[in-house]
Amino acid sequence: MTEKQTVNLKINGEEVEAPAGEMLIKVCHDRGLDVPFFCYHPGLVPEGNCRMCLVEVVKAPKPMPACTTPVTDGMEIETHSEAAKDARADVLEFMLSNHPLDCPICDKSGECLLQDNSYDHGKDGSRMVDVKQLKPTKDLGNGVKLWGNRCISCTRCVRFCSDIAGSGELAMVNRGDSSVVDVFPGYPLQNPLSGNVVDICPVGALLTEVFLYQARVWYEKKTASVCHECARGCNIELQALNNEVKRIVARHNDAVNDYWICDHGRYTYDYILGPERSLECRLGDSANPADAPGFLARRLKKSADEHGADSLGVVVSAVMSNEALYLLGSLLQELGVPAENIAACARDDGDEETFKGGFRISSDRNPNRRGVEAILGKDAFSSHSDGLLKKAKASKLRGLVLVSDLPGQRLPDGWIEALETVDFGLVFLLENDSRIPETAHLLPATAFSERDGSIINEDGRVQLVRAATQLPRGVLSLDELLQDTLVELGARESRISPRGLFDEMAGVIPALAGMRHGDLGEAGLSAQGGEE
Amino acid sequence: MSGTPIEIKLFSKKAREFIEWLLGRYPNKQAALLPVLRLAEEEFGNIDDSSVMLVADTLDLSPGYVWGVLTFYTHYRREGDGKYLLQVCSTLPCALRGCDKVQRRLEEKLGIKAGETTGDGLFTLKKVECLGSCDTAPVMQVNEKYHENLDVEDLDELLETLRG
Ligand code: SF4
Ligand code: SF4
Ligand code: FES
Repeated sequence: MTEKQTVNLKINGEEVEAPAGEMLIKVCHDRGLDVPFFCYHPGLVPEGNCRMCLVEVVKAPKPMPACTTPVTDGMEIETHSEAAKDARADVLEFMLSNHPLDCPICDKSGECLLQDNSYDHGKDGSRMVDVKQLKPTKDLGNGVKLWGNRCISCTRCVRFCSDIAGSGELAMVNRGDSSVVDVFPGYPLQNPLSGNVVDICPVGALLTEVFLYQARVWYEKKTASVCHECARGCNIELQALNNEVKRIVARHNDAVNDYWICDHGRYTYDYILGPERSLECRLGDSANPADAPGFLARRLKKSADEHGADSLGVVVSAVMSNEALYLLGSLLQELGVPAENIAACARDDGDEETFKGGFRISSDRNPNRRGVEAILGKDAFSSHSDGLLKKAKASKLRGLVLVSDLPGQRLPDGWIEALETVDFGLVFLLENDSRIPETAHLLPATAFSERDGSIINEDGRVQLVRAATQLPRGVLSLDELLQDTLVELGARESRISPRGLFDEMAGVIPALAGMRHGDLGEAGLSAQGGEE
Repeated sequence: MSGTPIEIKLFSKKAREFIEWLLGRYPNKQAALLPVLRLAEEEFGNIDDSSVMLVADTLDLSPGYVWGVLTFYTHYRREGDGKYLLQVCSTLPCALRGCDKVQRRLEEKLGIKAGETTGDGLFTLKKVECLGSCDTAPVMQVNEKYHENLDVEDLDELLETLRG
């Protein structure tokens, strides 16, 4: 379509102009009208099977489903006439005729469309007296469980598997009131996007094993953040309870991941509080994390003064935030350390995967490789690393700071060996590493759920990461610690907010030029300027 | 996945030629699913899991998709079904004309419930949706044959005839 064609219609008596071909439900939702739905999902092909979205179309013989009725010229719609409301209440009465109403033991409770729609649009009684149909409760594969009795046959999950994942494991089996979602025997859910069916199931029919009975969702603290498991930077919501990440769900972003995330990103958070997580603080005689900024400032300064700034080296990672990279860069600049003494480590590549609906998992498993390149330069990964290792071998390196925060991956042996040769070694450690020598100092690295900051995905989109959980009392996140260290050195006045820090950094780093923290919002911005 | 591996089936040459011809008459492979399922039923006597796999492979569909379509319809003969497939319509016109009595009588006479097969492997009883013969309700389909305007009293005789 070259020209934008529009139609004129009336909704609840008001004149409305809308793009031709747009579905009624979208036009209503865009105007803030409450047209309820179950089977409709903006990321899926509409099917119009649940009838929850019935509205009155004046002069039409019966109510019409707003999700599959395109707007046309001269149409007159009543979304909240008695006829429309009655039709929807009747639909709900039917829908509940086989539903077990076991909300008290259902994980979906509190975020369930059936609850919400019943409350807002349903009746307070039922004429249904028939015995309820019983359907199976079973594992569907990939840690997804089915509570057949709760299924309302909306086929959202089925459409997801066939149209977005492209693997088509799920089907509606049987017919009429015995129909329910299932897999073909021996062919369980296997696709790497399968967890999304749990996000989009409007009721508690599909639930994940790992989150089962873990939390009532209304007690959780919900934080908008970005996945750190590959360079796509899918938008996620971290849900935490008692300072522990309990669940990760997809967050909508048309420019990155639509409504979906992959299972790897969804289920990889155990390490944050896992048995291998290192929270040890070992600063010479002190185990007090409050001493860290002073200690770091003193020791780096001493090393630079005694052996020359060129004898100091730092190894960062492609998982760190832009802010931490930027601060570390300015700390070294302050001490006069040459830029080539900063090397970077990255996680090993994985397989790139692309799916029928366009969703892609990147082979680059690093959330912020682009950030390292933008702030420290591409050479950090290659020639800087080689140079620094060579220096260590020649015993020309006297101080070394390592950030070992790659989840599930330890630093290459070369860096650990280099630690043995220096006078001052410090490791920001995420997960225990028995190779690290006793002489090295230790501080906890910051996991991605524990910090505010920004990262840049492989397309150059700058997105905000937000803290959902906290490090133990007294332990500073890496960017806070670096700010305080710079304060100790007299290079900064005081610690500033993530917002202030981003804006300051954007003024210095060309890739972020013109960006303001306030403009990044929930969706981020393309580093080339403007939306993609 | 655990479980016994599914036996691998193949269509006969004649059946493959028929499918070739059939596909020429449909806009895409998926659209030919119902007749190909019918063909599998004719070739192998019923549709079991390995037939589902074969049909899925033949038409480039997921086994799940074929499974969903197969289970939607009641008129395909499935693995384990008896010699006679008794399909009692339970949709509105038949319901108004007393199909529940027909159903109940058959359950009593055969000693099985809807969805079950008699121990001698002779009868499978199914409660099905509309058979498209509302004007002659209540209706029961026995294999390929319709029995219309059913009277509960006629059922005993019918079963006897079938038993031979
Ligand atoms: S399991 Fe959930 S998403 Fe799938 S059809 Fe049933 S209610 Fe819909
Ligand atoms: S595709 Fe990458 S960024 Fe997206 S959820 Fe998966 S691992 Fe995370
Ligand atoms: S939301 Fe429109 S029919 Fe289901």
